[in-house]
Amino acid sequence: MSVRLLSSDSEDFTVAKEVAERSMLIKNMLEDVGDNDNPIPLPNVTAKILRKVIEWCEHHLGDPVTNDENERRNTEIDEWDQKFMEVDQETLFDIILAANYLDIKPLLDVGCKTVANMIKGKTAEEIRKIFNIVNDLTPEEEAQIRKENEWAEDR
Amino acid sequence: MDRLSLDVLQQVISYIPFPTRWQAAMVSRLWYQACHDPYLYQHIHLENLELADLVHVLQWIQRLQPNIRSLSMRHCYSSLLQRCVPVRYSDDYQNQSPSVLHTQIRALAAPQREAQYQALNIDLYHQLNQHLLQLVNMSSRLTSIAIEHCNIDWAMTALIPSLINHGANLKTWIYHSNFGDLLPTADALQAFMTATPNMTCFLGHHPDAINDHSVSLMPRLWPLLQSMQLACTNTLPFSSKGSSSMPVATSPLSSHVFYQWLAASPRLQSLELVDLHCLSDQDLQSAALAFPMATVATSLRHLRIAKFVTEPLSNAGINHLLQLLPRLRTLAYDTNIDCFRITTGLPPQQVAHLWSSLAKQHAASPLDLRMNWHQPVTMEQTLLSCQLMATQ
Repeated sequence: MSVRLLSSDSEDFTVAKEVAERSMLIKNMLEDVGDNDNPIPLPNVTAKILRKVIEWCEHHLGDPVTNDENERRNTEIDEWDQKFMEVDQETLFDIILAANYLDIKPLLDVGCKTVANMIKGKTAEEIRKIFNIVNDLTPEEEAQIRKENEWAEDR
Repeated sequence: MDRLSLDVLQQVISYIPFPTRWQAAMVSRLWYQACHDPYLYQHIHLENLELADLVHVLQWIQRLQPNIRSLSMRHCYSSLLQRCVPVRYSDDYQNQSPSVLHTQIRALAAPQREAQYQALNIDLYHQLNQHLLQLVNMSSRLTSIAIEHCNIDWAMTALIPSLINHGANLKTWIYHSNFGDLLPTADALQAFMTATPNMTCFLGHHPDAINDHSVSLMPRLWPLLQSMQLACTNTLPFSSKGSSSMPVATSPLSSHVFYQWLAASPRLQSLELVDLHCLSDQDLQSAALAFPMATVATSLRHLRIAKFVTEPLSNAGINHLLQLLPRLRTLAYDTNIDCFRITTGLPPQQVAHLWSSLAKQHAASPLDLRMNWHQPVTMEQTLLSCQLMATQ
C-alpha cells in the first residue's frame, strides 16, 4: 500500500504507507480520511527536504520505538545518521523543522542532538558566531546572568 | 537558528550538557528564557561532572523549582576519590609519585568515611545531600532515578530516607557501578520496597541488601516488577583451593528462596543475576526437578547472568536453566578470564567450547545467546586475587 505526499512546491511523492506513517501527523491524517487516492498536502515542507525526510524514514523503517526517556537520551547518533546530518546549517534546521511539523520524534531527536553537539564546549560568544545570533541582552542583564553563574566561568 | 520555535530550541538545549548550558543561557534573551524554563528540567540528565560542579548544578536547577519526573546522573566523580588509591591494593605503592594522595578512604566503612571527610574539611557531601533532597522533596511526580558509574560517595547522602517519604510514584531505580551503597542492609531495602509500591524496574546493585528475608518479601511489596537485578553479597564467597584461612561465606540468599521467588514473579520480563551462588550447576539441577517445566517466571524473556567471583556454569547447568525457562528470548553471559583464575571448576577453554556448541545447537531456535568474555575486572575480583595470593 502506498501514500501520495505533496510538497509545498507541488512535487508529488509516492511512498510506502509504513514509511509515511513514521510521521505521526500523516498517520493521524490517514486514520481520519481513510483510504483514498488524493495526495496529502504538506505546505510546510519543500521537495528537497521531504526527499531527505523520506530517505531517513526508509532507512529507519524497522527501528523499535522507544518511549523510555533515559534510553532516548543516552543513545549516541549512529554512523548513518551522522552522515545523513552532514548538511549545511540551513538544511539542518529545515530538517528539524520538518521533523517537528511532521511529528517524527526520533528524527527530531537526531537533529537536536546534532545541533547540541555543535554547541558543546563553546562559549556564549562562539555560539552566537556559529548560528549568527544577535545578542539582545543589555550589558546590565549580561552582567546579572554572569553573576548568577559566576562559579561556572572558566570551566 | 532564529527560525526555530521556543519549543524546538528547548529540545536542542535539553541536549546541551552543563556547564555549557550556562554559556547557552547568555547567548540572547530567548536563549536565557529557554534555559531557565522549569519545564526543561522535568527530565534531568547530568554527566561527567566533578562533585563540586554537580553540587552547583543541582543548586542552580533547584532554584528554578522544577517538578522533576526523572533524574539521571552518570559518570560523575569526586576528584578526591579518583586520587585515592587504596593503599593495600596498589602495586607500586613505594614508587607512587608524591602527588598521589594515599588514603584508605575507599576501604573504610561509611561512618568512618564521614569522619575522614570531616577531618579533611570537605563540606561538599553535606551540600550534595542538601540540594539533592530539596530537589526530590519538591518533586511530587518523580518516577525514575538512575545513578550509574559515579565515583561519588553516595552513602553520604540521605537519598533513600527521602525517597521513603516522597517516592510513592517511583517506578524505576537504577544504581550500579558507583562508590558507596545507598541500600546497605536488607532492612533498608525492605523500607524502600514498602515505600515504593509502584516499582517496575529495579536495576540496583545492592549486594548487601539481598537475602532470604528481603527477596521473599518482594513479590508482595513489589507486585508490578518487570525488570530486576539481583546481585549477591560481596562478602567473600567461596571455599576454593582448600585453604582453611579463606573466609567461607554461606550465601545470604538461599537456593530455596530464590527459586520460590522466581515462581512467584509471573510479570518479570527481564532479569540480571550477578554472582548469585544459587545459580550453580547443582542448584539449577535441583530446581529443574522441583519445578515443572515453564512454571517459574512465565513472562521472563531476557536473562543476563554475570559471573565474576562465582563458579561458571557448565553445559548441564545451562540446559537445566533453559529447561526451567523455555520462553527465554535472550540469554547473555558476562564474565572475564579472571573469573576462571579465582574460582575452581571449569577451565576457560572448556567454557568457550561449551558456548560455541550451545550457539550451534540453538542456531535455528529463536533464542539469542550472547557470550561476553571481556568484562572489566571488578573490585571484588581484585580483592579476592590479593587474598588468594596471600593465602597461597
